[in-house]
Amino acid sequence: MSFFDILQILLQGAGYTLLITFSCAATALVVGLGIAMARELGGRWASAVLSALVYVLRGVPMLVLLFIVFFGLPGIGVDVPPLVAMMLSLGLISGAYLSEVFRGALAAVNSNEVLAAQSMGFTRFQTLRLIKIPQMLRFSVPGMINELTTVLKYSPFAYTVGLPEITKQAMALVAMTMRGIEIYAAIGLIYFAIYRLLLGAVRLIEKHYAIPGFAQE
Amino acid sequence: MRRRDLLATFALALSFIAVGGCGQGGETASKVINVAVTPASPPNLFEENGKTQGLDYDLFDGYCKARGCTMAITAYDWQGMLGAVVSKKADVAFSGISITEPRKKVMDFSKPYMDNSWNLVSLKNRNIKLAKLDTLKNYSIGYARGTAYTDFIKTEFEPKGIYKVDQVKLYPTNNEALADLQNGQVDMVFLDGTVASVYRKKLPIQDSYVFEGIDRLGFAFPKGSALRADFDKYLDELGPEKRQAIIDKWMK
Repeated sequence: MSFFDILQILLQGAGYTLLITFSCAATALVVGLGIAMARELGGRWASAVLSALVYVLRGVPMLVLLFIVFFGLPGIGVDVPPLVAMMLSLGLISGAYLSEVFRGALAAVNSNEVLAAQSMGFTRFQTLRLIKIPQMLRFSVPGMINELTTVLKYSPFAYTVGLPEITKQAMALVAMTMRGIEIYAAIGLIYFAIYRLLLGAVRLIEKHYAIPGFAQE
Repeated sequence: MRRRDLLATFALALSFIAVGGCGQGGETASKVINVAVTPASPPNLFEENGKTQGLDYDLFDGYCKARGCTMAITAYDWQGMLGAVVSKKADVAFSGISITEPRKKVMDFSKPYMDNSWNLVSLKNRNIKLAKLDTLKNYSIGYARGTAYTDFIKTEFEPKGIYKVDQVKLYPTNNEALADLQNGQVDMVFLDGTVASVYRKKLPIQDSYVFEGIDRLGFAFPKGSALRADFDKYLDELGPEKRQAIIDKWMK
């Protein structure tokens, strides 16, 4: 079995790894944006509740939450499919981290611009939508790349709940061939390729939202 | 405006995935049996060229052929596989699972279908052969997490002062334990006799000590499973000779 054959077998799991990564990343973005916006617009109570939620989610290990969702919830009659279990664990935790990235980026928006918007008669929602969020997204690109990379690297946990992603293929293959070094090197390469793909996607978004002549580049 | 499109796309993708996922989970045709396996347990269960096969697979395949059912196989890691049975996500799990008391509390087992030895293996060039267990504490032992050895060490070794559970090194699967053995980071690895018979052909390892007659393998079912009784009946119908023939085919 050549290195190319190994790569080919491992790639059978790549589709699942991509699916897991993108669905969890999408969940994280939606949750993160939702929390960040609700914190801005909601009152003191909403903000306190969300802060508590983020606090808890950031402290719970990913695997523990995954076990609770996938193996625990059926005990109270809620059956969760594996991918949804990943979104509800990895996606939520990552969303909590992203909401903190967004919070930092929101704080970096120039307060004079907000003041100017208010004096023009913008509502709080308009200020958020037209002034704060566009800048926030730009400011949070580095943090977002970090977080999305983490999502990719946590995707092997999906094997625990029965999704046949790359790491599962690798372990089944190592069990039969005992060629650990080549096989794990090969999945390292595949993960790196997916990471480059993610990076490219975020760069595209970054480019799209960049203002010519403003700040970097 | 573009940004809103982006968000809408995300939301759409999310709901699509969620709905798709639910569709898979809701599949409860009466003749489809959800099977949980760990395809890193040769010869009992493994994958070759993307095909699930092995001793346990043959036995259950025979059952399904006799009863006209089909298997929907999901591959988990070891703990995920056991968790799937306990939480009733799977109707049956098999991959050379030992019947143990703690496991019996949370799942039901079929009749034992084969005896299994437990082998402490080490590298040939280290030439470690134990006649008695009293020198065992001088060596480091490793094995895959979630296996039955922990229970064995706790009940058999600790009271006699032979070995302590907190001395052992735990690994995700046999693969990592054996890799560490070859790297010289651990002296001995606990393997099932079945697994050891496969790896002895591929790696420079030998048995340092073999425990016989303490371990029997069974198919694991959720508590109160009706399938279990029928599978036991099938094992009786199959008879010891035919069962032994299947075992011999894989153990050689």
